Amino acid sequence: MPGLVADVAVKALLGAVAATGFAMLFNAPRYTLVWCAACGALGLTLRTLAMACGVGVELATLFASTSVSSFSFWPHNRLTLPTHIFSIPGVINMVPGVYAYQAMTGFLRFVQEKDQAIFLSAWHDLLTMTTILMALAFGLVLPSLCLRIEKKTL
Amino acid sequence: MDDASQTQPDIPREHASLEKALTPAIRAGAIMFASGGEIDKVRRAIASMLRGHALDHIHILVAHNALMVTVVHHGEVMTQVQSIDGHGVDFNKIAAVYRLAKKAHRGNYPPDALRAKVEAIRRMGRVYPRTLAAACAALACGAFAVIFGGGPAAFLVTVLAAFLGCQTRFTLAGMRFNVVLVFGVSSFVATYAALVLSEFLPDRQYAEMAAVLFLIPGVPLIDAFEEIIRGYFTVGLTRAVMGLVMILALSAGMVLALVLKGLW
Repeated sequence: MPGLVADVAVKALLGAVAATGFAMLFNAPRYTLVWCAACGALGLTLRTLAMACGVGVELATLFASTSVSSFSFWPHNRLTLPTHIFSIPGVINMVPGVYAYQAMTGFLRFVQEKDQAIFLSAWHDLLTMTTILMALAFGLVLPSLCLRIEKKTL
Repeated sequence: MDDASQTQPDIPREHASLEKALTPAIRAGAIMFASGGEIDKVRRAIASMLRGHALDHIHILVAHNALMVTVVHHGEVMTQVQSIDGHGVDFNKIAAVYRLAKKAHRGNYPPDALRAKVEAIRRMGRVYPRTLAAACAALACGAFAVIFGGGPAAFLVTVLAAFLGCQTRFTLAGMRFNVVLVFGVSSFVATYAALVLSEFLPDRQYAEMAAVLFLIPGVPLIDAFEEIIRGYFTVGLTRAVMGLVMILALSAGMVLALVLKGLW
């Protein structure tokens, strides 16, 4: 249990740092940075907790990104800004970089070694990466689809 | 002669007032779309800005590189097309247009004031100096390296490599090079720097994979997904293809660095 708490605390801190860095890269206004950091910390914390409870990485990512997107309606209402300004930097720290890298290097190794096991492993990494990305994107869009009925103006 | 002038609407004046209303709205929409705004928000921002002018109809068409708006007012029809020269990500401009559209929607903003505000938004520069933005993006990549399982050494190497890559990206983008080339070269620089700096690290793969993550086209891909879900297939697919081309350029840069370093 103390190990999990420490892991969650570290992940929350790193998530906040990553979200703030990306928000600055995307030129987000200064007053939104705190909210972006909060979204980043929340997303990675929830995903770590869900995975610690035995949930798979794809479902955990869906849960976390849906939560971040729902949370971003709070600053959206307070600051009168689009939710994406907070939610996109907030979920970007859940990008499946390891799977993407393993898939890419796996396919390259297959070109050289022509080993079917490497090919299958690379495909597995690619599919896992795609599923996580879909979960991330769908979780981000889901609350706005449910909470915001189709409108013609802002 | 007098009868005719009384019965017919004052076409030039009507035309000028429509033009005054339409121009700032379409320019604001173009700024929002070019800054990474999702198409549904762009359409609603334009509609909000035109709301105070009691128009009979507003028709908005958004393509990847142009916006077209047609308005109808007392039988007078006007169409304007605004080209969109380049796509990037600028949340500051999106926020400014969004707030302006909200204000225009609530009160009756005078068209001249609206036009001045839109021009001011168009001229907005970066909120953060490039070096500071690159340093913070590099720290974000370092955080990624630790999230993936790397240690403090992998963090440091990633920060240095990502900073170099990010500076390369800003420099090349400032010189107006093609965006695909910018992505490929920046990815190559970041990966090669990570490979050189992490030569003796046991967990070097974390630095290699995290150093290029500042190039991930997250905004276009998420926008594309949302646009497709909302039924804007043409723009969504175009944006998705743009994101995939950027990822291909990123991968090509990484592969070239791995090949040059003799790892493949």
